[in-house]
Amino acid sequence: MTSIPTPHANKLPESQHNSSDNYLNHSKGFMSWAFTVDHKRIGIMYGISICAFLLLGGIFALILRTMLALPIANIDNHANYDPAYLKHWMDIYNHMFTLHGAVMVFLFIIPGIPAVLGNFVLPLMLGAKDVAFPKLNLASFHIFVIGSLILAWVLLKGVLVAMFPGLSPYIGYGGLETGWTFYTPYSMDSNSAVVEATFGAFVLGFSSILTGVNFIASMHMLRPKGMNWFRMPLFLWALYGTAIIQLLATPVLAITLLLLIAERAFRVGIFDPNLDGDPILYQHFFWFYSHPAVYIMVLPAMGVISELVTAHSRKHIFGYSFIAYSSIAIALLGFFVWGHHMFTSGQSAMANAVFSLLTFSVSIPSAIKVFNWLSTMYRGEIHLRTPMLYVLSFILLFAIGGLTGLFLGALATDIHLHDTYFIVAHFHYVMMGSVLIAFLGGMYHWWPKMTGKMYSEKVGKIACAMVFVGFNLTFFIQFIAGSQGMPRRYASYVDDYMIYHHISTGGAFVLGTGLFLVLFNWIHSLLKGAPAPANPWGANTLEWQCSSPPPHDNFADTPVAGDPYDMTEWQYDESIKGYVKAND
Amino acid sequence: MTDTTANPNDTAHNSDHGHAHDPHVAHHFETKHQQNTSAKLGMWAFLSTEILMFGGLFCGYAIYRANHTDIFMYAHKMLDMKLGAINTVILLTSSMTMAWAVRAAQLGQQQLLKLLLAITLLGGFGFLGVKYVEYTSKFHSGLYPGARNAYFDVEQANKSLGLSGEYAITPTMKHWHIKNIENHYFGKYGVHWQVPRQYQIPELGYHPPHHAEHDTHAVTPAEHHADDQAGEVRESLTVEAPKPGELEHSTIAVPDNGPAGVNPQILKAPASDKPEDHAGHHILTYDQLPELEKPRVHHFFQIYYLMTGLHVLHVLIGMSLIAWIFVRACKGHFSKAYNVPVDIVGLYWHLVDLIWIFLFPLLYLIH
Repeated sequence: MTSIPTPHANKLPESQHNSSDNYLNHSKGFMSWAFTVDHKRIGIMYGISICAFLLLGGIFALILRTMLALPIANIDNHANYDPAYLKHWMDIYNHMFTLHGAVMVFLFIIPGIPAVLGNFVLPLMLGAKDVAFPKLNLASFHIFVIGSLILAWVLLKGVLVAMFPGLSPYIGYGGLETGWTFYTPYSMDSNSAVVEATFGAFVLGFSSILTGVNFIASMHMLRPKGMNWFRMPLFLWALYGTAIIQLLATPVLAITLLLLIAERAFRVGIFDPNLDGDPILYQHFFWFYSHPAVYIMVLPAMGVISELVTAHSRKHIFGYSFIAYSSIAIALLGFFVWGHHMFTSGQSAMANAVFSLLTFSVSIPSAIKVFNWLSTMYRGEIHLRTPMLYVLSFILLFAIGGLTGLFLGALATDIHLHDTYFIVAHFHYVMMGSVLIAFLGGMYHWWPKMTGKMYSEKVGKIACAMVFVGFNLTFFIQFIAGSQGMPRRYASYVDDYMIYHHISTGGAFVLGTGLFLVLFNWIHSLLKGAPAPANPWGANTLEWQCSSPPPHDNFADTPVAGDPYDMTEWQYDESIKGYVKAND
Repeated sequence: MTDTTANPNDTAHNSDHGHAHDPHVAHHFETKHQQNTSAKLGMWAFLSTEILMFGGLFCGYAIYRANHTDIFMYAHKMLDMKLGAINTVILLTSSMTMAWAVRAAQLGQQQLLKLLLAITLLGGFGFLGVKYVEYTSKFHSGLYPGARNAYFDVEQANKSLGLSGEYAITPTMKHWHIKNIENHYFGKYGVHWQVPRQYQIPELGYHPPHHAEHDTHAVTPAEHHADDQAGEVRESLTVEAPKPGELEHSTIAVPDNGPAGVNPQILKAPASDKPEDHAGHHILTYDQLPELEKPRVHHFFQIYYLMTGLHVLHVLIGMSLIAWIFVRACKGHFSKAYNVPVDIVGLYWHLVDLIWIFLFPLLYLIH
């Protein structure tokens, strides 16, 4: 595949690792994938399922955006419609935005980067043969599959009952219309599959916890010679912070969802105000997980950006320890800000003030990261390859998402902006504009390593531009709609808001097209891509020191790690279109 | 080469990378110490998630207890403190045998290891047995989890939830009048601490009726005399529990004097100033609960069932793990050189024990 004299390639016995033996063709058949304990294959399987859920959630998004652009969404036109039809239409809208949120959050963003890129890259970056507990890793993938099948059943049941209403006495109602937050008391009354959906999320939580356990143990125990904590790649620091949150926050979601199931199934009266329960307690429990979960999403994205920005700027990362510590700071601070989701739900003024203050404090480590990335690029040798374009998009979108977060963290402005499209735009900038963008950038960056194929830079850049433009078209206008008072989660609006919705829907289709182009690029690369060199970017983290794609065992002998960001060790070699060790 | 695994029992991997490996060390670890430390680290990390998971329940408990203290004071007496104490002893003992088993495994004492694991497992069964007795006795009294609980106000719930017809919540134990439950539990074992009904809870603004003629409690007529201070507080361990048929109308003979060892000063204190029993416990009957709190009494039992139920689930998981370790010990898998699984399962079992150590006082021993 490649003639690069990687450090270990010379030492391998020919029988085991000739140039064609890699993890992809090491063994064949369905079982060799479904029950593999190889972290690379598990990462790839996660990647495929998560991209499928991105597609599913994206379809829901396009449906709900289309519904909002139709004339029926304008209240002025409601007189032209049969009220029963209108109600039905709004019911469908409720299902669409809930399913969009639930699928995207639980099946795409939360597992996304740790499970796909983390699983694939983490052991390679550590120069290890696998994660600390390979069987547990496989178990967590299987649990993920079970959890996603339960959520898929919720969808299927919704479709079945919609098509054959006679089924509902037997299988109950399907779909989900509570919003992805499952707030009580509505989740007690809703005629949708709340119990199944929450149980699915509960199961997915276990997958997340086990991945976190695995990553923490791997980073503690499997670091190679020469890699102390402060020579660990920053992506691993970010994953460490993520794993802490996965461990400490996810079980609280688990117990919350169990209580919700008990509430709905047995009417225990813990959360339901109709039974003298406390619905605010549910909100506290829910956000105690779900706010840190925002950092489960965004921390690994920041880690990806830290890797990409230094590799494609050909310059040592600026402020290594600041970036590393800020990951941990974000992880810890993230536990103490959940109350900012509840400023208007009757919390005491004192609690509001404290939560507001703590919320602002999270912006400090976040800003540290942004400034360090910018300083890394300063006077670097920037290669505007596709991953780097995603880095630039990330920095801009994250800055917008982060700065608008300050409006929402401030008590006075939050009263006005709470539950409007402003907040929808804010969290899409953070979750999608940052996490999805970083996920795509990371996928492009490690694509040659994962598949052994290069992708088309031209198509990649066009797709990135479309995603960037489409994203901003869709969501920037929502800041304006929200500040003008457009409430979130409404199926209809007054005439004043129509223009915002039309622009937003148009942008959504541009964005969707861009994402399809990304998918096309990847598939095209798999079929017709040029073979990838071992180190196409000249990055110095250990995963680039094994061949592309890596052999089954990653490294025959544990490599010795040096400074992960010393770019001077690698020089470009035109003949293989990749980088080789400078001293070879 | 087949996929190699972390399970040291699978020694299928061949040493395709040069250096000879201990068969108990998975291929991605360099040394046994590294593997053992990883396993323990992973287990500790996982146990932290368990703590956090129960933490949610403890938090819910704290909030409900703080907001509805009277309910907890009133309802916890229906839990059986003796059975709870027996279970505590059982679990603590099994935790000790488990710790001893870990030591035995480290020293390579095979027979002792098997014996201790068997005792630990037996402790698990004992715990479940006692729990079974407890749960069934609660069920017989109508203290079910969920909407079937006798304290659950079904009509009120249907009204607030807007449920009717086939969707309405239907009680199955409605014939169990709350008075019966109260008598059944407060009369049983002779610990009928609900005696002085003249007391008030001023901060709640509740003023109980001066004449408790509607009261069907099993008390002596002497008790209604405010002057009869010695009879105000009863510690009547000598009194037999009423037979099932007698619950409504039985009169339990209560000794006029306090039990030996009780400070006479306490016994002589005027009842109206002492909303507490001889041990300083708040004493309440259902009638004395503020009206707003009456429909919420079932919350205590819901929390009780949720907390102990989740704990029982963990006991079951722990027992399965111990059984697995026991089978492996019988097959002779463990030695001085390799015993980490015993250690790991031991950690889990200690967690199960630890959680019970918190549950027991929080649910059974409330003051």
